[in-house]
Amino acid sequence: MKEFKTEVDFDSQINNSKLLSIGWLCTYTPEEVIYAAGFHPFRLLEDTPSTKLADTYLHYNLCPYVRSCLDFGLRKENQLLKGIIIVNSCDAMRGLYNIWSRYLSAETFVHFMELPKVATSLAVDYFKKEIQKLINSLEKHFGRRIKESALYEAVGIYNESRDLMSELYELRKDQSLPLNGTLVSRVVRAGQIIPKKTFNQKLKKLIAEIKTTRARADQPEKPRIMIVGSLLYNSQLIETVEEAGAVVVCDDLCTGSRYFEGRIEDRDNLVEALSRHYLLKTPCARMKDTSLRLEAGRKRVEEYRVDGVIYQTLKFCDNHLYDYPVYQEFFKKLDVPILQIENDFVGGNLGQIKTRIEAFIEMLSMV
Amino acid sequence: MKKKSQKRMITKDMLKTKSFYLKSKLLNRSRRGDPRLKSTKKMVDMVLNLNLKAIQQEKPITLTTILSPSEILYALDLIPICAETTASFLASFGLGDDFLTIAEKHFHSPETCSFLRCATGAVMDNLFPQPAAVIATTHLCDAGAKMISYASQVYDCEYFLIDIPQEKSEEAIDYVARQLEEMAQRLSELTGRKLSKEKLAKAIERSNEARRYALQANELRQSIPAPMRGSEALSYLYLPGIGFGSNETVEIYRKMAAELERRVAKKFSPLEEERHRLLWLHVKPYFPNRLFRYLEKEKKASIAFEEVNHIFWPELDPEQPFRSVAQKLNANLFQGPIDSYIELLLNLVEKYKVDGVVHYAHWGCRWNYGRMPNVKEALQAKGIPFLRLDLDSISSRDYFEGQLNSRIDTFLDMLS
Repeated sequence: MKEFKTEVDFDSQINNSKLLSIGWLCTYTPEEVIYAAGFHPFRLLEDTPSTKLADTYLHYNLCPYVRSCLDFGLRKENQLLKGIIIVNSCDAMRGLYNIWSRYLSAETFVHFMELPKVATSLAVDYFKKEIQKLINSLEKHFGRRIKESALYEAVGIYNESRDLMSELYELRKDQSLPLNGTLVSRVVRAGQIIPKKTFNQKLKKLIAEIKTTRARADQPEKPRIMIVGSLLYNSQLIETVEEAGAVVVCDDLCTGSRYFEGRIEDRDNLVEALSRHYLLKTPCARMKDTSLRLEAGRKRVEEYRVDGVIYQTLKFCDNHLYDYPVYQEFFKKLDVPILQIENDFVGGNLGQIKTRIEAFIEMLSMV
Repeated sequence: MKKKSQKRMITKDMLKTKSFYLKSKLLNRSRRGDPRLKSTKKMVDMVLNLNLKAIQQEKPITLTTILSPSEILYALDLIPICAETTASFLASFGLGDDFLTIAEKHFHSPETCSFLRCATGAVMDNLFPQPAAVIATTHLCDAGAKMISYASQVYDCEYFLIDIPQEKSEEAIDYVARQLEEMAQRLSELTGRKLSKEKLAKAIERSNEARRYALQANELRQSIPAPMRGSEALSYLYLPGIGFGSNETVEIYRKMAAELERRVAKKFSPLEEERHRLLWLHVKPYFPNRLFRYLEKEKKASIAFEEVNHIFWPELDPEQPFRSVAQKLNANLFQGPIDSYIELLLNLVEKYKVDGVVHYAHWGCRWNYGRMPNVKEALQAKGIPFLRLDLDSISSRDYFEGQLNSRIDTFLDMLS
């Protein structure tokens, strides 16, 4: 198979930006508000995370991602990081907020946002107030007003980004395209880290390249994989899957489609529109309604012609761990094989995982 | 030895029979030389009764997480079966690992909270009859809501998730109150149990009465020597967990306060000696173990008070039942800014005149581990000795008595 090579550079290191920044951790954070406040919003997502410093504060049986974010804060390497928004997404995030506000609030502004687990009209109303509180809190701390026009512009830029990423994912449905999951994962990762306008330009260029340089060569059929679960720091796992002879065609990850799906249509009442968008999107495992995730998974299996599912969870992520038995049963009924991987992905220890992935792909190749 | 072998004979299937509960009730009442308070026996009786009623399907059942809005469930005359306390009940019969294995065989990760994994095993083993609905709250932990969600799929029944913000505010209380009202109305429709203002007001009044006795008992426990063993008091978690709003809970706390009053007047303590006084954070191991025997009897360390027995909520208003219950849920000491919780701890340290704090750490309990660094730092800053005791509350697989005792020895030596 001819590999698709792009000239566009999607390398994303979180410390490369030269802009005053505010970090976020959970995809339920309304990034548009941070952008409208004049800061560069980026996700605390290190390519090669460490938890060495954080482990002296947080016990190792708490989420490795949360510990890696604390570690990033404790290293104090990023002088441009002016604040952090922590959302009440899970137990570990609450622990992180307590520690961050105790030990790092002198250096960085820290704001805690409530996040309902239900997507009812009552909850949308409640979350709307939370978004307004975030606006007020940023305005008060940094002494700058977040104008309606700035929020309007932010929503436009973020919508454009969402549309472009959706377009890229659409291209993955085309089996004749040599577009691999490793590249897409690097793109989505960059989307969470590099400035949005720059990212949108790069992504437009990439999409144009893909459309014009279609290498519709004689490609052997490869098992098509969907990755489901919590988050991936980098493309290492996807690379492992693809090196084993499969192609990753779609995902349900918070560092994947859960980050960008949907768009904000109502631009008259922006705060309410943001609340609706974030609460009503395809849910993370933390939300009440698991059936919506399952249904979205079933649709993806059909649309992307998925042969097998890899369910990956960060260690100690209760929300995703509890959903695995439900997923296992659901995909079994759909006759789609599923493999579970549970790891901290911090030490780069992929040896055992690699063996299991290879066996899984081999099994799919025989079908 | 005899007692041990009797416990080993209990099987999973026996828990589904009426005779098991009747026999257990009898044993609970007539144990010779039983050092427990009468109120403790009454509480065990209450748990056995509820389970008996559940298996006989006398009333509709709701499966809940701990710290659910029990007053509303009692007002509707439903049987609340709490997932976490059920797990502790099963573990105390030495059956915790059996139910954990059932859940694990069905792909439930052994890294999750064993209280909820054990309850999942019980759901899968059909320990309870079909519930009318399942209910979870979000303020304590993520795993509770997920376990209850899973149960709703197994039972194919309605799932109520009461979303409780961490912030303590009027806005949050209003948000919760509206959810409670919607839930109560829907539960009434589902079960055919009529909901009235009077029934709700009575449940709230019962909750308030129990609260007043519990406060009295807690005050009496400030006396030296301790009028009650902490290991016994830790089992009272069941009541703030799911008992408030029932007649039985009023009666249990009334008896408890009266018994403690008599003991304090006589300066009687069930502990032979009180070399150290401790404040206990979080829960305890429920499987048969010798931790407290070692701590209380051999090392003469008294658990003067436990945070789980702290009454954290204000008196409720019977005229505004939903808002009141919402206020109680929102007032939970385990949620919200850590600073107010630390303030409370320091206050308890002073009130109960303790020499040190033991932070029991149930493996798999993320919120408990999450708050620990701030708690440890705050206590150490005040020079209050602190011990973290890691153990699983339900599974005895990783219970190593020697190691645990060594940690306790080192800590108590430091106190001396």
